[in-house]
Amino acid sequence: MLKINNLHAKVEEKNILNGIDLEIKAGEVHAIMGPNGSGKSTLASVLAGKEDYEVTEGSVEYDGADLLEMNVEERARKGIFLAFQYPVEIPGVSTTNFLKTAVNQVRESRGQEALDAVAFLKLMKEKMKLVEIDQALLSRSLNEGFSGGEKKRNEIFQMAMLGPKLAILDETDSGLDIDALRIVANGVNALKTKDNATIVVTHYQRLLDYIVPDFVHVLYKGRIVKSGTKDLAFELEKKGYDWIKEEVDATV
Amino acid sequence: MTFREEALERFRQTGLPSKKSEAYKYSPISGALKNIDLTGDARSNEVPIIDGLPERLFHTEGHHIVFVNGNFSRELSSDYRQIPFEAGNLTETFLRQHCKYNEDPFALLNHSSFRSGFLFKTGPGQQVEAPVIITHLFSGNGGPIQSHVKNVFVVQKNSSIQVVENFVALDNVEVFDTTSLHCTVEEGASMEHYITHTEKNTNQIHVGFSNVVQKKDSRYRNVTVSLDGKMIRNNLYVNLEAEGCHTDLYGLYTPTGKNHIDNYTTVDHRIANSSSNELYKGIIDDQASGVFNGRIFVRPDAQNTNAFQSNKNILLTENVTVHAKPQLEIWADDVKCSHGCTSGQLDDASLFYLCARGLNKQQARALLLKAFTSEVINEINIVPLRERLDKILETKLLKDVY
Repeated sequence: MLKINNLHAKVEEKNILNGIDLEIKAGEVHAIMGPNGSGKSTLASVLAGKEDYEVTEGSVEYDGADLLEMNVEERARKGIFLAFQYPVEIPGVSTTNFLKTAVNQVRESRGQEALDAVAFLKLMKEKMKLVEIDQALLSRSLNEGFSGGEKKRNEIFQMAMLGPKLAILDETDSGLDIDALRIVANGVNALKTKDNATIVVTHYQRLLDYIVPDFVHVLYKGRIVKSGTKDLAFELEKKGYDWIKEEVDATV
Repeated sequence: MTFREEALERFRQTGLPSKKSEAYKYSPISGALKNIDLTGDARSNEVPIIDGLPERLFHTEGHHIVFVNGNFSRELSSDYRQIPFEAGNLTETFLRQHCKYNEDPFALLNHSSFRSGFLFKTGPGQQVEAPVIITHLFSGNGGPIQSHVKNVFVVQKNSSIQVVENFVALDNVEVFDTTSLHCTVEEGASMEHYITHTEKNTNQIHVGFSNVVQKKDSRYRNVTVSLDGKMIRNNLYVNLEAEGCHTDLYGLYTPTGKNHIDNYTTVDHRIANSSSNELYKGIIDDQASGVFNGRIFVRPDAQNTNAFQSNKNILLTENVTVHAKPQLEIWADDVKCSHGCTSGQLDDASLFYLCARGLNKQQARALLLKAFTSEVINEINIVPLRERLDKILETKLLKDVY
C-alpha cells in the first residue's frame, strides 16, 4: 500500500529526514518510535502533505501512485488520514460543520453518492458510540476549550467518519490519561480491517499495549535504525533510547 | 436662526474635511465628492421594477419606512397608522432637543440639508415587538444622486425597540448620502440598532451617523455590517451619560475591489459604573482598504468603568490596506479598560487541518472566513436579518459574485 524509498526532507534548511525506507501492506499496524527530535512527526506530516516540509530526495508510492505529487486534500480523499498530535482550535467552526463537506468529498472521490443530512446524522450517531463522544462537543467550536482527551477522541471520531485506508496517528497518546487512552485505542482497533493500515507514531510503549503493532521501527536522526516486532517496544521501554543512540553513533 | 440655518452657517465656515483633517485622513471623501454638486436638487424617487427587489427590501418583517433617494416613500412604506407608537415630523424643538452639533462637517451638512425624516417615540414601558426597518433605497440613471436623511428615536423609560437601517444602492447608481440616526435611550430602556450595507456598489459614497445618548440603566446594542460600497464611512457616537449603562458595539466590514470602508466609533463614558464592549472585524480583499478608529473616553467622573475593545482584520491579498487606530483616553483612575488589535492572513495551520480532512483550499478558506464573520453576525438578534446576511456572506466568501 505504501512504499517509502530513501525519503529525505527538510524544513527551513534543516535536514530532518535522512533516507527513510519503509513498506507497509494492507492489514498491517506499524509503530514508529524514537527519541524526541528524531523526525517522527515530520514523517507523519510529510505523508499527509504539509507544505512546510520540502522533500529533497526519495519517493513515496501510495496505492501505485506517486504520493508526493498529490496535494493535501487529494491525499485525504484517497484515504490518508492524519490524527494530529496538536489538533488546531478553530473558533466558529464545529466538527459537524466541516465534517459533512469532508465526508462527502471523500465519498465523491470514491465514486460513492453524497450523504444527505439524515444519512450523515445516522453515520455520526453510529461512530460517536465508538469513541464515546458527545454530540454537544461536536457542535462546539473545534477543539476550543476541549480537554486533551476530548481533542484526541474527536480526531479518532473523524477518522471513523472518513474511513481511511491509511491512518497515521501522530503521538495520539500524548496528554491522555489511562481511560482516554483505552477509549482512543479501542476506537482505532475497531476500525482495523484487512484492507487498511495504521501507522502509530509514539514516544512511549504504553499505547502499544492497546494497539498491538505488527512491526516496530525506531527512528533516530531521520533514519530508521532498527526494526522489529512488538518485543522491540518492550525492550525500548525497559532500556530507554540511549543504547540505540550509542549503537548508531558508534557505527557512524 | 433656525437649526438648519445655524448648521449651514457652521458648515460654510468649516467646509468639507481637508486632507489634513485627523478624523478623515484615511478616507478622502472630499476628494471623491469633487464631481458631485452639493447644492443639487432632489432627484426623482421613482423605483425601477427589478426582479428580486421586494426580497432585497422586505426580507425582514416589521414596520417598514422607506426612503427613495432621500425622499420618504409613502407607497413603499408600511401604513404609518399601524406603527404602534408616536411617529411625527421633526420640529425645530425636537431637533434642538435631540440633535446636538458635533465637529464633523458631514454631520453639519446633514443637519442643514436633510430632506426628510421622522421622530419616533416609544411609549414608557412599551416593548415594541416588530422591528422598525428603515430602508434607504438609491436608484436612478444619469447624474449623481445626493441624499440627506435624518431620523430621531426616543426610546422612553423602560421601553424597548429594535431598529434596522438597510442601505440599498441599485444599478451601481452614483450616490452621495449622509444619513443620521439620533437615539436617546432613556432610563431602563433598551435599543438594538442594526445597520447593513449589502450591495456591491462601486459608486456609492456614504457617510452615516449614529448619535446615541444613554440614560441610567439603559442598554444599547449596535451591529454594523458593511459588506461593500465604494466609500463608506460609519460614524458612531455613544454617550453614556448616567450610571448602570451597558453598550455593545459590533462591526463587520468586507470591502473588495478598490472599495473603502471606514468605521469611526466613539464611546464616551461620562459617569461612573457603566460598561461597554466593542468588537470590529474586517476581511479585506483585492486592493480594498478598511479603517477602524475606536475612541474610548473615560471622563474623570466615570469611576468603575469597564470598557473593552477589539479589532481583528484578515488581509486576503498583499495589496490591501488596513488602518487600525485604537484610541483610549482615560481620566478616571479606577477603571478596567483594554483594547487589542490584530491584522493577518488566514491561519495556515487551520487551513492545513481542514484540507487534511479532504476539503479543498477554497472550501477551507470560505469556512474559516465564514467562522470569522460569525462572531459578529451571531450578535444580530433578528433571525431573518441574520440569516439573510449569513446567506449573502456565504456566497460572497465562496467567491465574490452576488
